[in-house]
Amino acid sequence: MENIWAFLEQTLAASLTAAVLLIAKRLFLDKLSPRWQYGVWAILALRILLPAGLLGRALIPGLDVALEAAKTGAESSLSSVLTDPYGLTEVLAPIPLVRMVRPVSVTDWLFCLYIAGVAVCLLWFFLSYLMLRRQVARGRTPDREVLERLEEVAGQYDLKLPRRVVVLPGVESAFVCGPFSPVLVLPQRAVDDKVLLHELLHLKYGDLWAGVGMCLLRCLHWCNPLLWYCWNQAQNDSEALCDQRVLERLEGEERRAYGVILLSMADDRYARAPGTTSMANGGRNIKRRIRAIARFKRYPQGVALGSWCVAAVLAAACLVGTSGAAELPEQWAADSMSLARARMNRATTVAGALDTYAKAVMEDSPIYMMMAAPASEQGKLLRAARERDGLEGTYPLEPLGIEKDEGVQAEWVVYNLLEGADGNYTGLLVLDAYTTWFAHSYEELQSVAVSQPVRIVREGDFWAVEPLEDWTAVDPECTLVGRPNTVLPALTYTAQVEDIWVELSYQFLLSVDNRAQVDDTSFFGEYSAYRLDTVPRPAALFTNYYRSAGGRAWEGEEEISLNAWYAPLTKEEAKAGTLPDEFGHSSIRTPAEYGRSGGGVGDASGSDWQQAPTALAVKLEYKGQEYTCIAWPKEVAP
Amino acid sequence: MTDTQQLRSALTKIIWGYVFLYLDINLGVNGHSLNVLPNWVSFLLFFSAIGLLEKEVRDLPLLKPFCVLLGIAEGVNWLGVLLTGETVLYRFYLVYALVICISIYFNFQMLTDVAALVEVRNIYAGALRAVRNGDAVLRALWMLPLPWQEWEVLSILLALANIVMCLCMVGLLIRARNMCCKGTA
Repeated sequence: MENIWAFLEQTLAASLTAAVLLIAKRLFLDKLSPRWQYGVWAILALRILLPAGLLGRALIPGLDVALEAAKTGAESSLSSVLTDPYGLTEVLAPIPLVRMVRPVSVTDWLFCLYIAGVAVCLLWFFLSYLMLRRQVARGRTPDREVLERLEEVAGQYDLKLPRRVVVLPGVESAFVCGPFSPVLVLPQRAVDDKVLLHELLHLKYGDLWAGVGMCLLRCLHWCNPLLWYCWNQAQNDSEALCDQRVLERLEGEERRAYGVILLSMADDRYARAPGTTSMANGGRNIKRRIRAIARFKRYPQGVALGSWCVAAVLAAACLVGTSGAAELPEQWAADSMSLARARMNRATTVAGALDTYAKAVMEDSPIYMMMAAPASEQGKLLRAARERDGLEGTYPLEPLGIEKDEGVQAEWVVYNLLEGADGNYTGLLVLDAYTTWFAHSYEELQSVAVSQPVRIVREGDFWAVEPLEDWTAVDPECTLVGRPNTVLPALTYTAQVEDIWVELSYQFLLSVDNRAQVDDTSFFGEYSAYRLDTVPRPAALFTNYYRSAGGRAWEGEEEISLNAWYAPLTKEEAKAGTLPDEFGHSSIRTPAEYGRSGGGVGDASGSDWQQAPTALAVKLEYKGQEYTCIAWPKEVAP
Repeated sequence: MTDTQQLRSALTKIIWGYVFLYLDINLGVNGHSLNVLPNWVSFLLFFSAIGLLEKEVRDLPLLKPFCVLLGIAEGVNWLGVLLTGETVLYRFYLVYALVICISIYFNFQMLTDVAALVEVRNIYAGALRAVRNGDAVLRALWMLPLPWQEWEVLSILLALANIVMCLCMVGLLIRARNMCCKGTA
């Protein structure tokens, strides 16, 4: 937890789990045994130790959106050093992560207060434990007969003895103290064997350690009263379970006598200290335990597997939650929840970033753009969305003479998308208005598409698009930008074998199928039509690719003609220098121009290629000899 | 009604309850798929059966509140589908999880009690207990956040196991009823 919002998210998740467990425990109070009642608190402990929102899952879908909206609302006017108002709240660890910076805003100070609270709480528990140990150290060794009775009880029930046994004046009931070297503390008055058995059972089942764990978890969420209440309940359940264990070892009248002993403790004071267990834990708790003892024989038998299954479902629900993907915002929404949804739906794939960016610029929607823009742009876009302004800069189809309010749609395709050394991508984004607009009103020598070089940068788990230049009209000669052509650029891959130098031009187009089928009815009956989907798909994969190759070759200074077969290589294949066994039919006879011919593949679930090939495996045939080599991109630019 | 007739009637209701619970026959109503063998009917039948058997099995009355809760939950879901085409409960994940917990416990305990009832009459009920265990494990497994859609084969196997489990359960309950109430119409 790096800031107060991360703490809020974590403590909210813990509170929801606590509420679910309290309801479940109430429902199964007289149906499942004290073992189950105590055991399910492990789910709450795990929930507190697991970061909230892990794997993008939530306990209540939409709660994270509300928290994000509240955070941006509060933080956008502050200048917190610990919180990015436009970044996503992420719980990196279940404990507070301290950053050595000077707090600036009220939320920074609140987080500091929280950290101080954790420290004070830890210190308080530690000091109270130390004080108790000091008191215990002053205790005297009990009489020989008491020790003999203790040994007898331990021997009878096959239990370990504590390291030390002391009698402490002023103590009202027996307790065990210290998880490392346990000391059994006895009051001055005579102690019943059943009380000794109770305390020895605490030692056997490691309840002291569970108590220490609960104290630490209390400290982590010191300001959450619901969790304090739950840990009080858990400690009481621990005592109730210990009662159950005692009763399982006793017979007939002894059980009744045990209940009477508990009743006699109902008025004892209960001073909780970490690393201790005490049979007398307050009047109200004792009453609950007596009620549990009354149910001892009434718990349905033979339901162990059933209770495990119930606990497994509770654990799955509270620890993993449900897939909490936030809904996409409306294109022109300006409310804080929609703005939060936009930030929570930032593009997670390169194709998703390009799809979202293209649709944002076409729809002139700042809220869509927030999903594909770098973090540095988020504040500006948020303000634009709130004020219902459009995007800055020219409308992309303006170079074609199309105005924004004409409502023209355009398909997008990216050319030559290639990964750079820094892991980011560059490509040429092209918006094609032909199929939706010019198909009806096309005049010769009129541009039908616009292009813009873009960079797609990784920002944590997200991808953002940075335009490198303004939109420009594509040469009118090209009327079909969605297919390989000779007008738009290609990547150049080069290779040298002996004194033969080859330069392959490889045009690689990638796109996402954005056609959506619409069923409609007309006078002639029902029909289906396709329209372009204008809603961004921030997690899209490229579904279509087209490729076309050309090339030239030289021997020394002289250009030559040869046959070249080529096969695209992935990053891994290129690094390993893997050449294919068979080169297939993809070949050219140099010199050849790219864009004249080519092929493509479409796969609705995501095509094999999500970027241009890192390199090309090449087989050359020249003067009856065959050469193989790997051609690498000459430049990483659109 | 004699004790045996009462027992027969109660077990018949439990059998029909499980038939309604596991068998879904969906019809298109208002463009939605509606189960004409609604699950809430199961809980009406179970409630009635518990009333008939509560003197015989000590733990059975403990199930009454759960029976009512599950009946209401199923009724709300059924009405939701009838009116809006959506199961209302699935929208509230944590409430839904609690309902699943209750249903696991309810079915487990119900079959445990029926098995105890049968064993009192010196009839072997081990198979019924095994089916009960399988049913609880399957119900819990379905709630685990595993990629069921991607694990098609496992999903199909589990669905088949569920069908086999239902058939076995109903078959074993019918056998238990016939053996417990020999000679009673």
